[in-house]
Amino acid sequence: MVLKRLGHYLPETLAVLLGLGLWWTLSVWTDLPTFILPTPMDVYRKALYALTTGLLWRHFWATLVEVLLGLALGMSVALPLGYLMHKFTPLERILSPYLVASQAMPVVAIAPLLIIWFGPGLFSKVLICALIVFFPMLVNTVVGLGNIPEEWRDLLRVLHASWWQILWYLEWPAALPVIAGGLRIGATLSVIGAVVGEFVAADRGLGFLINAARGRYDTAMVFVALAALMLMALALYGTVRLLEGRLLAWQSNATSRVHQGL
Amino acid sequence: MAQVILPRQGEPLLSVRGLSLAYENDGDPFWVLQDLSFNVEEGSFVAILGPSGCGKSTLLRVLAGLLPVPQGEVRFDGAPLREPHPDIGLVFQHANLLPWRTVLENITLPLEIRGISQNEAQRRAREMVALIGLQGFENTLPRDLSGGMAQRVALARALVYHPRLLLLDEPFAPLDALTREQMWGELLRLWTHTRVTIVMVTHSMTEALVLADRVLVLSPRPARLRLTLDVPFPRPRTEDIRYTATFGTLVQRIREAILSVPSHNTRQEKGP
Repeated sequence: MVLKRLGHYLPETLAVLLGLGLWWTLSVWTDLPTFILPTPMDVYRKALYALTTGLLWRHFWATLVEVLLGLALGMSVALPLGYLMHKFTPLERILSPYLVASQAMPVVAIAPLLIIWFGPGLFSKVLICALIVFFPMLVNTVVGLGNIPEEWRDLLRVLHASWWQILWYLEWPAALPVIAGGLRIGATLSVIGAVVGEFVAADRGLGFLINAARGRYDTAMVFVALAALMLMALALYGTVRLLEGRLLAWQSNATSRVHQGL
Repeated sequence: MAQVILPRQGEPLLSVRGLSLAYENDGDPFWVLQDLSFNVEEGSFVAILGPSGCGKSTLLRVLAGLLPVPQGEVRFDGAPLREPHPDIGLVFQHANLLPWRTVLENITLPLEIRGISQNEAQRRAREMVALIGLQGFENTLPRDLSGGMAQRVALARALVYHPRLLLLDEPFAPLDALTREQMWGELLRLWTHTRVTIVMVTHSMTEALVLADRVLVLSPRPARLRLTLDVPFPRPRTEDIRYTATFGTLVQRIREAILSVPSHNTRQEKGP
């Protein structure tokens, strides 16, 4: 079984090994100093150190909290607003200048402003994450609700469903696949938001760790933090996929999409 | 809603008077239904027969309360119909099951919406599952059902809350011929069992004559009532009635009624 699985992922495994080999060759055979390109062994040792002292976990946790709170905040604004925009089309037109403007402006550029206004603590980071998550979630909510077949709506009307029953029995489950797609994008974007915020001003988090390590020319630690960020984004993405697989098993292609892997 | 109207003696369950409906088309009215009047008696099975695209599905949407009554009057149970009525059920052309709900959950949906307890809803839904002969499929998702099975679930869903009037919008049109004929028997069995009043829209003369007590024949758009036909075959009916001389005569009369006075926009007609 294990061998069969390995065989299944042979191309991916080979690609990773090849990349590691290239890195190792480059770092060992060129005379680049460690602060430019550390060897895989340097990074491994640094990672062990960061793990055993609890340093990595502390910063990982700080970033994760920002990411998750940001996701929650972004979603809890985007979902109801998307619902309202779907119900009252004028609202979409009223809000569209702000929505377009907020998307035209890179979040990286607003981050300093948010930190001026809300301080360098947790809240400004959560806000940055929420901002970056908000738009794809909103768009997917509106699209998901808009794609519900008229016949299903007729059915609920014939059955005398109230507005919240229509929301609960029809709109939420029917729009869920599209909303989950938004969440999948939002989860990875939220990690970017947190790191951007930590770059601007912070005293913890993986973004802060990268910044601090860079200042000390501790490039191996930068690599470790980057790997941790990547793992976090992948874990979030995987979690959303798993949820999708569970909740959307009724879709004939939902399960197969999970099998396609990342 | 709060006012209670007792059905007067002899008043039909559903009565349609002078119903007309037009869509606005560049400022000109585009007539879909014109001056329709008919009654549906409690317990009867009425088929509304017309060529594709004549507006009979629109008529059914009006009867379901999904479209406002623009001109004329539709009375259900003695009161004007203005919105979907809790005693009216509708079965759509495509089974229209919610794909994330199992067979049983689709049938319990109307009961859940009515706030009936989970246990009672389950019990009644299981009864319906037995009635439509789908035991063993309670936990199947709609995507794994055949067209005929899906349509049976749709019938069960519409009957589970015991509506007094059941509207059927060409429910068997998407099915293959053999399944369709099976479903006729199935529907008659359900009708006899529940004694619900049925108004069914169809474009099949055979279907109308095999199933209904009365056939209302509509013209091509705009739909006008061309012929009201009382079907003389006794019940329970067998397939054999289709090979009798009377059946052939009735088909001939319906065909003549539809084709007799071609309306001016017949030629632009394209069925969906």
